[in-house]
Amino acid sequence: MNDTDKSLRQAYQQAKRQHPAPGRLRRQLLRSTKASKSPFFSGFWSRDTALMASAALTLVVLLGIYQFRHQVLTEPRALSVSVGIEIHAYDDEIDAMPNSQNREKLTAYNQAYERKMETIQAVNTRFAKVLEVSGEWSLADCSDIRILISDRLIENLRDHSRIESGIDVGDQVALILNREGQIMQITHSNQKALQC
Amino acid sequence: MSYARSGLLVSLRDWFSVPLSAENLMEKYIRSNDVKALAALYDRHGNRLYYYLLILSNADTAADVTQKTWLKVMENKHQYRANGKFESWLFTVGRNTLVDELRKHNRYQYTGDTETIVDENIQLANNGINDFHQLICLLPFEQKEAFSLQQEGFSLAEIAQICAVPQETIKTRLRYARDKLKNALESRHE
Repeated sequence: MNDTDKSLRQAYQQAKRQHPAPGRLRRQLLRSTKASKSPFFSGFWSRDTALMASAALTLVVLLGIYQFRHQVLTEPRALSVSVGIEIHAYDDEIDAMPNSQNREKLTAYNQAYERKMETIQAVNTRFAKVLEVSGEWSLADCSDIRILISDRLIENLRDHSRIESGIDVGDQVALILNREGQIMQITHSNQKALQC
Repeated sequence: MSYARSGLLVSLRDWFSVPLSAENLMEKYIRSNDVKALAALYDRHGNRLYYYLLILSNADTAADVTQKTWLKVMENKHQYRANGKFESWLFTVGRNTLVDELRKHNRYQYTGDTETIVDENIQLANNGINDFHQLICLLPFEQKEAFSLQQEGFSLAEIAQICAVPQETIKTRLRYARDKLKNALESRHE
C-alpha cells in the first residue's frame, strides 16, 4: 500500500467517523427484534432448549411405544380358536361302498330293526288253528272267533319273514299280537292241540 | 457446516470468551433469535453500511435504507448461507434495497451498458471542496461505490459480486476514483 492509498484510507475512515449512523436506527432495530421475537423462545426457552426438550419428549414417546410393544409381544395371549369339527369316516365309508350294497345293507338293518321293535311291541300271544274258508286262510281260536287272513297279509308277513314256513291248513299256530291286536308274527304252536 | 455443529462451536467459543466472528454471531441469531447477537452485528457493521449508503445517496435515504436493510436481515435470516461472508451478504442486501429505493424515486437510470445515478459529474480538483466526504460524494455512482467498498475491506471479487459486475470493471472504476480523489487531495494541499 503506497502513501496515497494510506492517505485515502485515513481520509475515508475519518469521514466515516464524522458521519455516524443515527442512534435511533439501532434503537428502532432492537425494538423491532423484541417485537418480532416469538414468546415461546423468549427467556430461558432458547431454540436449543426447545430442540432438546422436543428430542427428549420424542425419546420418551418412543420408549413408551417400545415398552407397550414389548409387553404385548411377551405376554401370553388368550387364544380363542374356532375349531370346525367335521363328521368324517362315516361319510368316507358310505361313499366307498357301492350304492346297491349299501341299500341292501340298510334294508336288512331296517328290517331287523323293525322285527325287533315289533317283537318288543308284541304283548300278547294267542293260539289258533288254521282253517280254509272260501279259498282263504282263516284262524279260529277257542272263543270261536274266526279271523280271516287275506293273501296280501300273508304275503306281507312272508316278505318280512314273520310267518314260519311249512304252516298249512289244520296246523296249530301261535299268533303274536301287538298292543292294538294286530298280528305281528305267526309261528307253529308248541302245543299239540288247542286246549279249548 | 450444520447449525448444530456450528452452534456447538459457538457455545465452546462463548465458554472461552473468544470474540465471535460476524458469521458466528449471525448463526447464533438465526438459531436463537438472540437480540444481543443482532445488536453485536449492528455495532460492528451498522456504521459501515450506513456510511456506504450515505455516500451513494443522502442522509435521509441512507437512514431509511439502513433500517430497511436490517429489517430484511431479520426477516430473511434463514436465507443467509453459513459458508458465506456476512458482510458481503449485508452489503448486497443494502445495495439492492438502495437501488430499489432510488428507482422508486426515478433517481436511477440506465446509461448505455452501465447503470449510473443522475448527479453532477464535477471535476473534483477544481471545485474548492476541502471535505473528503463531499469529494467522495461528487464521484460518479459506480466509482464511489467501488471505492467505498474497497475502503470497507472488501476484495475485488467481493466488490464485483456485490455490484454484480465483472472484476475488470471494478478495477477500472477504482482506478478512476482513486485518481480523482488523489488529484483532489493533492490540489487541496497545494
